[in-house]
Amino acid sequence: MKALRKLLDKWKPAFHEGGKLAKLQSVYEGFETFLFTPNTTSKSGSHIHDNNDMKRTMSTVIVALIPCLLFAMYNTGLQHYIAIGQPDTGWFTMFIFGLLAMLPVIVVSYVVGLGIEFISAQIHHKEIQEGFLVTGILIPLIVPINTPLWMTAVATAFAVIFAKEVFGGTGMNIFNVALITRAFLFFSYPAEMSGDNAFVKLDSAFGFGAGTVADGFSGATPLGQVATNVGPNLDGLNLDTWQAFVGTIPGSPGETSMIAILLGAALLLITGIASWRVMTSVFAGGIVMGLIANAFATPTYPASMLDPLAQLCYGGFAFAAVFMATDPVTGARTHIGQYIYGFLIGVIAILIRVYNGGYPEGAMLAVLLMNAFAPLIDHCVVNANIKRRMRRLKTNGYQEEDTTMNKNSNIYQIVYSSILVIAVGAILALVYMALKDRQNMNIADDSRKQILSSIRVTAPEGTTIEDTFNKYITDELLVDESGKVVQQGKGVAFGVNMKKFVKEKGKDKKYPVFVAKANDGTTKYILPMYGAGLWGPIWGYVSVNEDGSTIYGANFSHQGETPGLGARIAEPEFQDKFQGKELYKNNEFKSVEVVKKGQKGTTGGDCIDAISGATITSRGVSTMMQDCLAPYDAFLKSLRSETAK
Amino acid sequence: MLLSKKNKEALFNPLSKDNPVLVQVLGICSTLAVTVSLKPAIVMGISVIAVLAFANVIISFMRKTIPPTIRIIVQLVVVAALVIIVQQVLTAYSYDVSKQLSVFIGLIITNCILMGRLEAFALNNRPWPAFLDGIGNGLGYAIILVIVAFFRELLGSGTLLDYQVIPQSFYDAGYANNGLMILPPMALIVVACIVWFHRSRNKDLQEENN
Repeated sequence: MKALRKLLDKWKPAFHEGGKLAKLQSVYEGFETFLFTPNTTSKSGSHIHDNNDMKRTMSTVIVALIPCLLFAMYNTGLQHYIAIGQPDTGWFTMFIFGLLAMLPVIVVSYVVGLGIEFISAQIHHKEIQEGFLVTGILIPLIVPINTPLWMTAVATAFAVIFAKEVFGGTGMNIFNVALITRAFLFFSYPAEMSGDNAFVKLDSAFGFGAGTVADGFSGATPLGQVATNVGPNLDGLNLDTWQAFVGTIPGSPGETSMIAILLGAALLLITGIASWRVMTSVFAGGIVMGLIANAFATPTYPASMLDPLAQLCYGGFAFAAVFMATDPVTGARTHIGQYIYGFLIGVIAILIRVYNGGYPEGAMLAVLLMNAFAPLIDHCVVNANIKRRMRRLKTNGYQEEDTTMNKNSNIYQIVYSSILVIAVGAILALVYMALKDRQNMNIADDSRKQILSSIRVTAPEGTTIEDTFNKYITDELLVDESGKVVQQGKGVAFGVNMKKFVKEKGKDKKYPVFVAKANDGTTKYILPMYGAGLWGPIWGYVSVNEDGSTIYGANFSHQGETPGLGARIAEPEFQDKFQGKELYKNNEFKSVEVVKKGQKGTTGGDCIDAISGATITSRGVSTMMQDCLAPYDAFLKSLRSETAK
Repeated sequence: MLLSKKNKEALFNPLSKDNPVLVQVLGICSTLAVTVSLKPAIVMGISVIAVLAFANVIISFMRKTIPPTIRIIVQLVVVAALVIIVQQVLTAYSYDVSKQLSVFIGLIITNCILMGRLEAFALNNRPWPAFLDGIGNGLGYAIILVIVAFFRELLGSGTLLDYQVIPQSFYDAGYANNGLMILPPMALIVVACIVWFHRSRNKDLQEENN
């Protein structure tokens, strides 16, 4: 130690003003105060002295995180060896594997985060703060283990710069920096961050623990399984609250073990570092909302069928409650405010988890949302207090004076507005009349384009879509449920408004069919569909071969699905997968199911891989095809018997 | 006369020194909404230039007759009428773009740049300067829109004007498009970065530190 002190003292002059390395002064000081307690004291103003400085606070949090970190390493190994079908491997090997798997993430997180803090301190000639020490260890604990390192690096850099440095550095940030890192990853690279393969490391770590993934293995987290459950109850799922309590389930490294989290929580509470008000009220909020959701349990929202205790054990809820919500910088500071802040985090986390189909876990979003509201909560609490005291003083507020409205001439205003409205109305009507035909043509052409796309035709350059449509579409039919053609002729199918049509009830519905001659010379039957996605309606067209079963092509459109996820149903990459699939198996209508990659469908019909990260939209396509194509059963069967002849 | 010093200021100041987005902080909502890719951003920019210039001129012509108590309503009616015309024209002549912009074209009505300029400039100035002010502010807005859209489309979709820009070999090496860029929050952050850069370049825009 003394040698170190001497070395530092020897270097000191070089870093101070006038020295060679004066520009790096804050780096030097950062290291010096990291290694030794500084012996300088403040010289102006009054200061409260306390042994519990920021460095000690941070160190305590890190110690509290150690159980989670150690267990995370063990569990990362455990999940890996289960995945490659060797669950009997010794615990020490598993631990080493997890250590090797997590080490690069820890290194990346610290190098990037501290690097930016050092540079920023240099630019502003400020001291380097210890703020990143805790964040740097939180990041590897909450980022899924399979996230590519470069993504973690980009996200860490983003979070440190935009969530912390621009607000003024340590202690000034509005949002929890570690959670911003995760949120950035979560929204930027949804395909890598969700789904079954994000949470279990399948390949080897530095050549250690190599093996091939066992057949039928699914790395879905319990909440992931619940969110995509379709049955009337959760019986079919591999759920075990006790396992979740111990932590031997897939998930983000640090969040799985309730025991390890509670150990950390105990240390934080005993040392008084974390606010017990926040921590307990988060759990209280979670239990209350869990009870409410459970009381109205319905298969539409599968997560509402979990009991409140399970809600607390699964996912990142406990980890967020203990280590994220209690962050003193981003949380509420008044005592009453802390109760409100914590309680709302608990409620919102479960609310998002249960009722928002897009996100199976809501703890991260709940904490970030409440981070934003913490200052407001404090403000209200403080103001309420001030008001109460004012009332006690019986000081009367001033009375507002009546302001008499300055009346302009009413008649003038009325006449003015009438003329304006009439003039504007006339102009708009004129414009509408002039452009109406072109507009309707465009809207119709858009539908025609989609219909043509389902038989793999695009209008060639130089021809109008309408001409191409007339060339390929040879006939239009309306058929009833018994398969009989009740109407035939140009425009009868095209005139059907699908949005209204699917809402109609009754037996005598007439279903539209387009008959087309495709480029391969055979006749195709195009059936329109309309259904619901995650955020709004989805619709599409599917063309069937003469055999009434084989899909020749499909086209889907949507109103407002998530860009990059659900919106991908409108891309050829997804639509082309339908080509060649069969609607019938053993002469029975099965439709085509859209299921998660590697899973099997429930009806036994043909399946398509769902878009990863867009479960609800994919399921919407599946349901839409089933619902809209089933009424054509008789019609398609009649096609089948004709071709059989 | 047509381009006196004052008129020049009305036209060119909004491009940088008095930029509606960066300095006046107007029109942020639509900046978030239409900058996912370049094409709608450019169309939105052009639409706003057109609507703002004509709204400014019309309001400026009417400025002496408008009863002050209902002036906001009058402004709204004029803007709404112009916006509906733009929408009709787009549906008729550029259907794909109008489909993409469907909701956002309507948003022009509530675009604060319009109300801001009508209130601050058109109500007190002659038609010609008002026209220049409209063109200038519309352009200033369009420039920012295009810059933001450039970064969002490049990083979010890997394309520019729908042409693949980032080579396939990048994706094969593990690169992935940034989905957050497609979501509105990132537009705010990109705008903030531009404001940051802009202020650090323009000393007279920097607030005093106390």
